[in-house]
Amino acid sequence: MDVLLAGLISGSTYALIALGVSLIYGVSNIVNFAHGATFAVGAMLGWFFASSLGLPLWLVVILVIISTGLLGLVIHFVALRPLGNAPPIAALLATFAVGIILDNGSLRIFGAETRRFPTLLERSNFELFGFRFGTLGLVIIGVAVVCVVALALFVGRTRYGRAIRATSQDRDAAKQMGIPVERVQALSFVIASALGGVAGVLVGMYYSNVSPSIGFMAGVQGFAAATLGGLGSLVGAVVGGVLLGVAEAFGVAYFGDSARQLITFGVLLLVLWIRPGGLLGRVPAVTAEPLTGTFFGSGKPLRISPWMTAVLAVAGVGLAFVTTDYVLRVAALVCIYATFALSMTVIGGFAGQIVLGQAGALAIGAYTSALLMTKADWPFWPSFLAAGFVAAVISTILVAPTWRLRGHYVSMATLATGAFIAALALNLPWLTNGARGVFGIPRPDLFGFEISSAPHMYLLTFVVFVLAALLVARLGGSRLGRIWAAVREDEVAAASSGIQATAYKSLAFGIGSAIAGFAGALYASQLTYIEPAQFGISLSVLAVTIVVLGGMRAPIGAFIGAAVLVAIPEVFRQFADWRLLFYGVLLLLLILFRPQGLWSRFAVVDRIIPKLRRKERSAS
Amino acid sequence: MSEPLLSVQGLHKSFGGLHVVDDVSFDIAPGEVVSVIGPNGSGKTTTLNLISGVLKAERGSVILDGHELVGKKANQIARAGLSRTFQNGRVIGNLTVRENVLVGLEATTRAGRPLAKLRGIPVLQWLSLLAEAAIAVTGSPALRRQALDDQARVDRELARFGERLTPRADDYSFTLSYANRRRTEIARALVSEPRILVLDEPTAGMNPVETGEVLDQLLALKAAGQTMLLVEHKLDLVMTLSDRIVVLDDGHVIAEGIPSEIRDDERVIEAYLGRRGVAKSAGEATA
Repeated sequence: MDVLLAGLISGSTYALIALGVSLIYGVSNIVNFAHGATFAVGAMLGWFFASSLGLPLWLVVILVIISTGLLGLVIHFVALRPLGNAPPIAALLATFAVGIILDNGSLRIFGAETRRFPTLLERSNFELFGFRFGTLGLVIIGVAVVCVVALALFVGRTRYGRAIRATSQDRDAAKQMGIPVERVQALSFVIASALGGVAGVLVGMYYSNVSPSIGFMAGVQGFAAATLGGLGSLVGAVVGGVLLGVAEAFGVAYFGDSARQLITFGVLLLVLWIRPGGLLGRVPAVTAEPLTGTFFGSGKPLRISPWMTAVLAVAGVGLAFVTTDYVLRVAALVCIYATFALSMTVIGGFAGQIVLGQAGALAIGAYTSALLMTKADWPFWPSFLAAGFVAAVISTILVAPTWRLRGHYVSMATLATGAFIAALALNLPWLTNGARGVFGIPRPDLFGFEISSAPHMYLLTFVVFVLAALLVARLGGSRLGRIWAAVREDEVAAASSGIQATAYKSLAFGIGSAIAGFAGALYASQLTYIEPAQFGISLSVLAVTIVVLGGMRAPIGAFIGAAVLVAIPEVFRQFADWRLLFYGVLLLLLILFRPQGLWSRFAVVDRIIPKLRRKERSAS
Repeated sequence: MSEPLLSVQGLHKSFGGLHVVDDVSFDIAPGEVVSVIGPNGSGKTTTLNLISGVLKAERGSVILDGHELVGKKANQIARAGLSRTFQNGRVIGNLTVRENVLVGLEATTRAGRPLAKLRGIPVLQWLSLLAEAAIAVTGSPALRRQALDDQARVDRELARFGERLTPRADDYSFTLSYANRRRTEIARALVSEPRILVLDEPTAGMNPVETGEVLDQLLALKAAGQTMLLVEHKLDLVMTLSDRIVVLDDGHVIAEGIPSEIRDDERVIEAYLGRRGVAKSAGEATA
């Protein structure tokens, strides 16, 4: 009974988070990946108001509602409004970037340590019908219920509520009828973010401690709950939140606290596999527009001639003989990350699937190779091959059921898969040593020679990158590249031309994951130790940022992106804490101003030419 | 009528309680051109989407040359020999015109796709997929021969549209005019030499000259024996091209017959135009 009550309490906070996710999805048709971060900001602000300023609970809640509501408005105006009619994938990545910025901004402001959330209530317990109630639990459930009822009344009874419902049913029709759709969308962001902030305060009170890093998990819990109930359905969000809360409470009661993450990710994945529309929703039968389309399209990657490739390769090899060990160690990391990012080139750039959990594949590769070498005494190269193979197989199986779906669902499923794999690495200590990690991973060898010096390691990673890049370039230019392009740009048209889209998406993902697995093996051998914390969401963020920066459609883009994003932070070592914040800001700026990345023709030319042609045509 | 090539029986689809396509049946004989007409919202495009597998039919059957298509996926239906175009034109913007048409060949291509029988079978299909990827990277003599042959077929297909597409064969299709996009799409659907070509408003958004051109090309196709199913608003084109016409209203078939019968059918005039006596000028009105 106590377990059920605990489940209801956390479930009611999940419901609040999920409501925000669903509300925004309904009105704007995007999954707000910054929602978890908004929640965390709410929690930190709540802590600040309550403990530093010593304000009473009711004032704390009101202030948090106001400030997170404003934050929602800012997110809408900074990240979404400018993207206007850009494909939803741009908005998805923009909210993702905002989430990173918020998480790490609040980390810099409030510090990384966990703060004690002050007791704002007299805690007393009483019994009723065999339940033991605490005032705290009652207040949390009470506040959640009040919020849900208020939202229900607002959406159901007011003029603006009607506008919200109309917009979520059919945006274009709503616009035609004179509904200020953009204002409705802004409003939905304000409401959703305020709900997220309130949830942050409630969770802070419940667990009596908060830290800026709680946002990611809360965000995934929100997605899981919203998807379970049916994305876009407000009733579904409440049902999903409560169900997820209860399921987690029972899971934690039976298997311990570490099961919590596995349950959340597991629920999200299972729903996406079995019933992606959720309990009360449905995946729309006809999707009007393909998700990526012209977003990355406006930039054609520049072509590199074979002899340019040769010159670059020779220059890359030559670097090993002219510079210091320190530079070469950084350069080796650049090559490893570039190889890792090549997986995004295949999956995102070619096949158009925006995956947000590639750190998972890298982790599987790193662990496979590290464990085979340290525990089974395999030599490097067989372990290296096994790393790519195992990474591809496990990732492909985990994500396979998702390929029937498109866009956000793929992004959410891969986000969950990546986090799921990191959670597994932590929760399978007999295999992975758990949080302690794997130490003393041997260096590679080649024909009996150990490769351990900095120049040698650099050369090895460089050669692996070049081979992988050539493979990727070859794939992109082949028949498969054409098939992927068709799937990327218009899945329906591709299918009607006889292309089995799911299979080719899965193939791209498998190939990409194998490449990430190879990169993982190199990563393990370069660092000589690995632990689960290295493979968190920030590594997946890095992969996305690298290819968005460098250009998604050409392998060289991965290298350019990696060089900028890995080498520059090395130069500014003393600002290491700011690195993720920098990535987030960079990602957001790129999406807003140069989505096609550095390595592509300037978009201006591409935009002007068709316009001129059109003018010519209309003039004639 | 000889044995039908395509037989649609009792097709049904509803979107949340609204019966968009309700018990639609018709047959198409080999070499025949059948048009589906009807007012906006009468279920024409949905019917095409059901036949081509873009939407799942709730009831009914679609038999193409003895094979049931309902329940099959769009890509399987394309491989069975039914290819289509879309109402708003769905070319692949970031591929050139030539590449777009090459994509259409995926419906028939065999070279470079080993073990194709395993496709669609979970796990086992990976053998075929991985082999395909390997061949795509290494290349093979068969693949090279096929590529040459494919290029020739694409050139032939583009030549069908005279000087409209051939000079632009290597332009990205997002730079094309609307009419040229439609032509590219028709070329993509035709290049696999489908047993039946399904066209959803092939001349939408085209001016009278362009419409006339497309009509000539479709008439040439018809003369060559191509079976076609067509949704179109421009009644002049429909009357000239079609062997038979199926009229939909509110998801039902309200009339079916040869063009001259349909032209004079009271119910059709009523449903399609809302009032009587303007059938003769309908072509100009909607063009």
